[in-house]
This record gives sequence, structure tokens and C-alpha cells, in this order.
Amino acid sequence: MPADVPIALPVGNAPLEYQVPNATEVVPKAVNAVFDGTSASGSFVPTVEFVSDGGIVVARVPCSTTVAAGGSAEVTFAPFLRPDNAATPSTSWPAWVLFTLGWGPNNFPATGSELPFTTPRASFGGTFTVDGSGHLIVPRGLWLLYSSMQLEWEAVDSPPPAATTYSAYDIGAVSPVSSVVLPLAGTPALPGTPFPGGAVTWYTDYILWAMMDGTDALRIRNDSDSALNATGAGPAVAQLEFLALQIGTFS
Amino acid sequence: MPEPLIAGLPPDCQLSAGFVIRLNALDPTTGVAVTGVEVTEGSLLVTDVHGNIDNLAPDPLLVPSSETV
Repeated sequence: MPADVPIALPVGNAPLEYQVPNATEVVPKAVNAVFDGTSASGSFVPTVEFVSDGGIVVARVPCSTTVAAGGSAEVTFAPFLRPDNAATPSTSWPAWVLFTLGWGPNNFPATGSELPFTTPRASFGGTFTVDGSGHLIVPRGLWLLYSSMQLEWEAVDSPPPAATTYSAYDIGAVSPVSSVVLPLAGTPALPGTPFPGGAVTWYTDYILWAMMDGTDALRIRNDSDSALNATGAGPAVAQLEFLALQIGTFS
Repeated sequence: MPEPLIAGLPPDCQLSAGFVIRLNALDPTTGVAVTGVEVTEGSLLVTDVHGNIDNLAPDPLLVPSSETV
């Protein structure tokens, strides 16, 4: 019948070994020892190793802390133990970047054209790069992407089509080897009448998430019909707010 | 006063006769054993799978005054 057995080890210089006796099988539950480095030749990492009867190391479990030469440590090794980092909590917040992009009357990028990122309005905690194509490269990780578009037609403009099938823009992850389009499409109920004679403003908000590998780039593109940039028919004001918030990392 | 530290250990790792549990002091850069480190107050707590406790003692020794089955 299995039994838990404590075993004392003799004092000795590392490496100190305990060999499982004949006709016995054991499952280690805890190992504890003082590693006295008073006479150590250098800094060291207390380590437990399991070595097969053929001399092969089948497991090597180093302590995550290095003990300086001359120092000592009492180390307990046990399954599922992890160093407690609570004493040094992380003070970092998630990385994020915020852009505000705007366009004046009738100069909204044409259908199929990209809405290039420019200088971030604000950012925190990461390296954000806008390449020569106006694409945004964010650090590797899982990102929550939020965008809000405001399009405003004024009375002096021609009205937008009443039944516009409208895909305001998309966000694509563009990399040298692949292009994954994450559509942010919408079909707003743009009023055709009464117009002109009054202003109409349309808002749209999108949230999605994307896995970015550190080289993928985010792009925004006008996939709308031509009304958005047609002379006399485009919005008087267009503004885009874009926020990328890192919600996770992966290796 | 030794610095108290903790570390993980593979769970449910059944070691057969002849296997060795080795307490070592490794160089953090090279992984080579560091000389001059003395291991004291070493103790193991193991589950004796077959319950033949007699084989475990006295190699090296049971902890004095500990209870065993």
C-alpha cells in the first residue's frame, strides 16, 4: 500500500544524490534543503534533477532565483509551487494607441483607397509604427480594436443616397505572406429626404479583436460606394477615432 | 539566515529503483555545476508506491522521530 515517507539526506557538497533503492518506486512530493554557498565558486541556481538508472537526466528543475556566491538559500521544491511575485506587482498598464483621423468636404478617400494612419493622438506602453503606406504595426499580442466613424453631411452638400449599401471601411491584417480582412461593414439608414435643407450625421462604431504577430499591419480602407467622395455628394466632415488596446500577449 | 525560496517539481513523476534525485547547484549562465556549495538539512518527502518502506530506510535515513506506516 502506498505510503508517504520522509527521508533525511546527509550533509554533503552539491551535487548531493539520493538513489531509489532496489525493489522500490517513489513519487517525490517535496524536496527541501539548504544550499550553503559560503564557499561557492560563483553564483548558482539551486536545482533538483531526476536522473535515470542509465544516467540520463529526465527532469531538471531549477529554482527561478539565482543565489550569489557567498549566499545561502533554503529551497523547497514541490509540485505546483511557484515563486510569489506579489511583492513586486507589475505597474504596467496595457499598451494602447489612439488615432483621430479627419477629412474635410469632398476629400474623403476614394472607394478602395486606404485611410492612412498618421501620427497617433496618444499612445502608451508599446512601440507603434506607422509605415510608409499608412499602415499601423502594433506589438505582438491579442488586440481589441475599437473604431468610431462620424460622417456629417451639411445642407450645402448633396444628399447621400437613400439606399446606400455602405461598407464604411475595413481593417485588414496585412503581412508579407498573407492578408486577412476583418470586415467592418454596415448598412446605415441614411435619409434621402428631407435633404438638402438640413444636416445629417451618421455614426458607426465597431469593436473587434485581432491576433497580431508583431509584423502584421492594420489598415483602414474605404469600401463604400462612390458617394462618399463624390464631389458635391460627399460628407462635409468625416472623422474617425481608432483605438487599439492590447488585451493579451503570446509567445 | 538562508534566503527562503520555492520552486516547482514535476507532479506524479514515478521514479524506479536506481533512479537518482540529485540536488545540484548550477551556474546560471553555463548550467555547469558550481563547486563549493554545501547541501545541508536536506530532506525528501516521497510516496512509496509499493509500500515496502523497509527498502527506503536506512538509505540514507528516515527523519528521526518521524511517523511512518
